[in-house]
Amino acid sequence: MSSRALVAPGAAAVTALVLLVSVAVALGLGAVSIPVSDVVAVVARRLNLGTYDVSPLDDQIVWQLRLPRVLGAAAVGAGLSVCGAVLQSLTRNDLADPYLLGISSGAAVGAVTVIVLGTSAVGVLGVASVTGAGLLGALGALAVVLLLAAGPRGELSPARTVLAGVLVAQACGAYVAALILMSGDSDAARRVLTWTLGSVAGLRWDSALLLVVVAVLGTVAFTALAGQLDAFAFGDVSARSLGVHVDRLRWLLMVGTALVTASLVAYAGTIGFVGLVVPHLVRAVTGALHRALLPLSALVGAVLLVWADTLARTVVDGQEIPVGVVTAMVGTPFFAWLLRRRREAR
Amino acid sequence: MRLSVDGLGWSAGGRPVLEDVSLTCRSGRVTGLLGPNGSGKTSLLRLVAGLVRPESGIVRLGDRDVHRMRVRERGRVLALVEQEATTALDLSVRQVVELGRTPYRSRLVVGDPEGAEAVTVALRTAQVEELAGRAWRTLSGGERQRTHLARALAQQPEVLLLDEPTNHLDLRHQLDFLGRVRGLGLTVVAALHDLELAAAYCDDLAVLDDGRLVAQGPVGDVLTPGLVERVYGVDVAVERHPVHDRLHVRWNGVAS
Repeated sequence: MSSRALVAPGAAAVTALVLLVSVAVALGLGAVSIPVSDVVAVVARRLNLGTYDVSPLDDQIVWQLRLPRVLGAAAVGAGLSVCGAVLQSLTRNDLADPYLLGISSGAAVGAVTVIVLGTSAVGVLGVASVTGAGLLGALGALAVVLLLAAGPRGELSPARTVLAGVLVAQACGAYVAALILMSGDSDAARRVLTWTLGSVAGLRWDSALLLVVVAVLGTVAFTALAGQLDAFAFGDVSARSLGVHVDRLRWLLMVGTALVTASLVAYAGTIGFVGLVVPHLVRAVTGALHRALLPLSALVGAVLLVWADTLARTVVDGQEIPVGVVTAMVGTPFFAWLLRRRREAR
Repeated sequence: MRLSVDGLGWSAGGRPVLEDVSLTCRSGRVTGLLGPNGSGKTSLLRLVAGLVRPESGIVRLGDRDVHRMRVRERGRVLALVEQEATTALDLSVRQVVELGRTPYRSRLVVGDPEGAEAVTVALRTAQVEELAGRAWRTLSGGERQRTHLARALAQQPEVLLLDEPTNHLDLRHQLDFLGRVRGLGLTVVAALHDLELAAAYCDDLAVLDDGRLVAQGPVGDVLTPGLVERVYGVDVAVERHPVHDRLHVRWNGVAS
């Protein structure tokens, strides 16, 4: 056993603990600050873990307002990070992120259509909200990307897939820009910008739970395929000779990560950098094997986004900063550091 | 286990790469696959490995059709060492060798009781035991090739396919690598460029020229000046060494 084999379970346990503490602390922070002990009491009472003396206001703030948002942030961070890690391996591309397959731009088309033109514009499709339209747009873009990327035998070559994603993103971007400019509605433009930068501010219990389920299921499913993903280390030919159904697995994981990402984006917009940076950060600690990389990426991504969102809602009094701005501000210098470190390592 | 190829044909981009190739590789013997650049050696190995589907013909391992086997089952009987395959990932030698257990692992995470033992044996056989903890990216060319061999051995295959395994190795490592492979007692098919090495370490030779098999049989029968001139366009003398009884190929120049 190499010492590294023991790093992963240890790191996972520590990170899970950090996540738990982060959630508890984040629940106490905000316009009204609540001591951690009261936060714990509210949650424990709600989970029927005993009788606690809790003020109704604290209960309202912690359980109804902050917890869905904090859980949603954790789920989005976990989901984006695990999808980023899978896609980086699958395409052997360090710059791959969860939005590789046109998800973000497709979701933007749906969301912006509703924001600018109102729900009547997409009502015929049975969709009545920004979330629904975003999901529909993301799935539409995904379908177009897959159609463009699939080769003559139905195989998905990474290079073609990345190019198809870029193509669809460009087309969607043009549509979104044209729609905003032609509407001449500056309030709509501001809402579009906010949506594009991502936010978990509006999350309520039902959507937060849905996001948690999606993130957990995604992480478990992808981790179950960790050994198959490892076999891609030396390329497709090598993976195939090791008994991996390369084409089938690539479809499964491309579509799987896209569906997870599409659900997250529909509720939280396109939060950048998390899915790109977290896998690199985790890889530096756990090494490249996916049975450690994937669950740890999910945990680290969750912690990161809980804190990013806490900053987003507390750093400026009485005003929300889009969480995407926070992740980019933290992510850019970190990524720059990573690039320099890699240059020195070579 | 005996490997036989019958009437194999395959083309890429409308250009025929292999035409009507039939070949038998004896069980437990080393068959050298010779031929100039672009003659179809790598393609033939990939077809034989079951990674690419032929347009015509059949590849049999014993009496099983390689292309009808389940992908995972194929990974347990056929192992391929590619030409200089590398990775940007930060993997240790042991982790690379453990990849060889992929076809034995349940598709869902764990469950390969004999895995640890197979990996240990493979590390020892390929003599990379002392490198087990080293990072892949720090290895020399010879160490990488030996690690690839260990990974292939961890698959516990019946047939080992090697694509120019001694490229970019120095002479000592070339001899060492092929000697090691020869000692395994597996059915081996190795694409080789060096005729001397092929003569020294193979039992049989098969020669490809422009996608067609032009000769096959025991080394002494195949490796003749006439064949080398026809296929490689080089004028050579083939001599049997008086002491160790091996064939030596001495080139005189490009055939006029």
